[in-house]
Amino acid sequence: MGPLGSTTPKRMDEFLNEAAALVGQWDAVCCALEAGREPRSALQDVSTTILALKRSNRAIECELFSKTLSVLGEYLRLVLKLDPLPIADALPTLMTSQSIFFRWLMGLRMGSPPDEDLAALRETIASHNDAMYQVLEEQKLRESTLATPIDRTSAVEKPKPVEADKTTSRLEISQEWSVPTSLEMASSIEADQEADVTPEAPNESLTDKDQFRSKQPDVIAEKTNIVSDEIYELVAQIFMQQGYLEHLIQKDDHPKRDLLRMIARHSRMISSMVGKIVSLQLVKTETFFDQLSYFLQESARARGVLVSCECDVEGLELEAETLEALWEPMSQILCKIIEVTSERTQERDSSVRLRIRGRSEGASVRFSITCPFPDPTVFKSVLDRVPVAETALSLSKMAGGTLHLSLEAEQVCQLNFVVPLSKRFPEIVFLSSGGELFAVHRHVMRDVIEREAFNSYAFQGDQRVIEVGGGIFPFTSFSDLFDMGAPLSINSPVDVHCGQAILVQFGNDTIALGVDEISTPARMIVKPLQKHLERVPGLCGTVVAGDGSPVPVIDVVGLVGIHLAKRRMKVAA
Amino acid sequence: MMVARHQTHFEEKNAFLLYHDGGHLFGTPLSQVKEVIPFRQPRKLPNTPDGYLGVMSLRGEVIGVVALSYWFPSLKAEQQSVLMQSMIIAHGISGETLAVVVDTIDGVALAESNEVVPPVSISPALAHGAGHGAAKFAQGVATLIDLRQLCASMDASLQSKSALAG
Repeated sequence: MGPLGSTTPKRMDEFLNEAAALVGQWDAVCCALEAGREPRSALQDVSTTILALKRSNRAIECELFSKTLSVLGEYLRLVLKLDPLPIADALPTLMTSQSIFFRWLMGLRMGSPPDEDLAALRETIASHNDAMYQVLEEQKLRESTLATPIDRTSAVEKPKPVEADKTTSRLEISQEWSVPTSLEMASSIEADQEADVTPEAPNESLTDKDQFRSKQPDVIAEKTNIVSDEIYELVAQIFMQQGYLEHLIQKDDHPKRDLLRMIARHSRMISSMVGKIVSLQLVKTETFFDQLSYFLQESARARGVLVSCECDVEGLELEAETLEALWEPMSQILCKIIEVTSERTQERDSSVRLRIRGRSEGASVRFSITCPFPDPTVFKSVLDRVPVAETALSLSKMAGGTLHLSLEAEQVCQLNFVVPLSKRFPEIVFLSSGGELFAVHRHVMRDVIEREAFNSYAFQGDQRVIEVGGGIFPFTSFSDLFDMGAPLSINSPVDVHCGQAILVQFGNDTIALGVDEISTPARMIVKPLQKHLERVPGLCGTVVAGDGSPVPVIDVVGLVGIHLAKRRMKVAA
Repeated sequence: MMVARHQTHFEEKNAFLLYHDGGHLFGTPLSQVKEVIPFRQPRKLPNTPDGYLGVMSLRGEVIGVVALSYWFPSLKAEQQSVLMQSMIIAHGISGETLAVVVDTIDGVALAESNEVVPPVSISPALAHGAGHGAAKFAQGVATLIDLRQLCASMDASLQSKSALAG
């Protein structure tokens, strides 16, 4: 441990506990400053904390720690001299410094303090101090020149370079210290990747799907490293703040307000951490569609078809797993379009124009692929060749999404893929039906209707329909969609015994499902099913309810598809 | 010294967990048993066959819960109070964990290899490699079943598919 080698473990522990409490105080002041506390007194408090840290350093006599604190103390003294206080510059500097001190102390506790970070911090602060000295000199000069009325015009012009210096100084701070977000990093990785993808010839040995798969892990692995560093930093801060909280509680003379503020900051940090964990598996959809477009163009070239893709996906990010699930049905249908186009058109220079649009709709993302056909029969041929129902089900099972294929205005094929924004933390709604509790994805419910808002009617014997808002929809109880072992008691075919109804869409069909009760939506972690349950129809995963019991997440769209098919067969019979 | 000899026996494959279900005595190699816990009410799952009782959360892991009648339909007749029942948490070959509900746990007993006789054909499942055979213990003659094999060959969708088709 170098200069710390002579420190006894007991002294080290005392130092670490004291320093943790002081750095925690520093953070609390920064929070208060962010919340709008009077800046001068707040900066003075930080200054006092730095002095206290220097005092506590006597226990271990670490030169680097002491020198860095001295430079920071000097920085604060200079900042306090400036008028007006450059709080917009000082706050990020103080917060970043505090974060580096946190990490250094954490490292010290583990036995390997990141000295290089502390040294870099000292140098950066020292350079800012130099810049600040210059600013102060210029300020003094300006004040003296402003005192003489003859030089007023020149004095007004003179500060310009000083202002420019100040701006440079602020930019330097933000550029050197701001940690790039995962999104920024992902976009830069993806930009590099794009540069790699476009000029290269396609890899003949790989299958179509593998071409996409082979790209994915690199993006995720690099992103994982960056984001895990950010998470590590947040965990370190939470850990340190916990120490400070304990210290506050033990002292018992701190106002509740401070404690609440600290807890609020904790919650923000945890929330930020959850966001970062979710972002670990996210991939930009632009990358996905670029690769899809590249793949389609390569496939079409062999058939003499020209493919043009116009993509507008608004910088959306989706989980890699969801995009992988999308790849197969999407590429399959688009390849069929190319295939049919090449067969139908006599000229070999035929072309396919694809317009891809992606928009987020609450908790889901809707991708619309529009493809105009000069010949309407092309669409019918595509429809004949693509097993839409199966594809829709597989997509729903894998990605928790839906697929709609429809013909619009006779000559335009519209493909609609709806997938949840995040499969890992989707919005889940608990609903009870037939005495059992179920969970469903929020995005599959088109609407929720109260019992008073609809009328029910008997239809073709034992079937039921409801009328709501001028529309008539087939109705069934939610629990009737599947086999729960025991038959449900229905008093009369016309009576509808339910508290509410939910409208669920499957292709062009909409069905109303009666449920007893619905909870408000909440973002939850969906646990995957065990292997032996993967093939059970109607199951997507499980979530753990508030009482700790698992609740099955129902693949409503898939079950509605099966139910509607059975219903049609019954009517036909 | 006696303890050491006893432990050596347990490390070999001859230690069996004995349990009763539906009036029958069963035994399972101890190496396949992760733990034994009191019965907990599982959450029922739709579209699953009879005998598949649902899922439960065990220390954060959501695991399937099955009754032995899932594999041995003849055991259905006798039902024990749930208060008396236990769950054997067994390891599957693929690393999955499964809870098997049984009526009572009878303890652990040792059986030498030469004491195990070929499987008694009480179910077709035993004929598919899931049966170790039968052995005589102080509690009676036990059917020795390979829970790991049974868990691995499990597919909860098989029976439900036919139910849906009907």
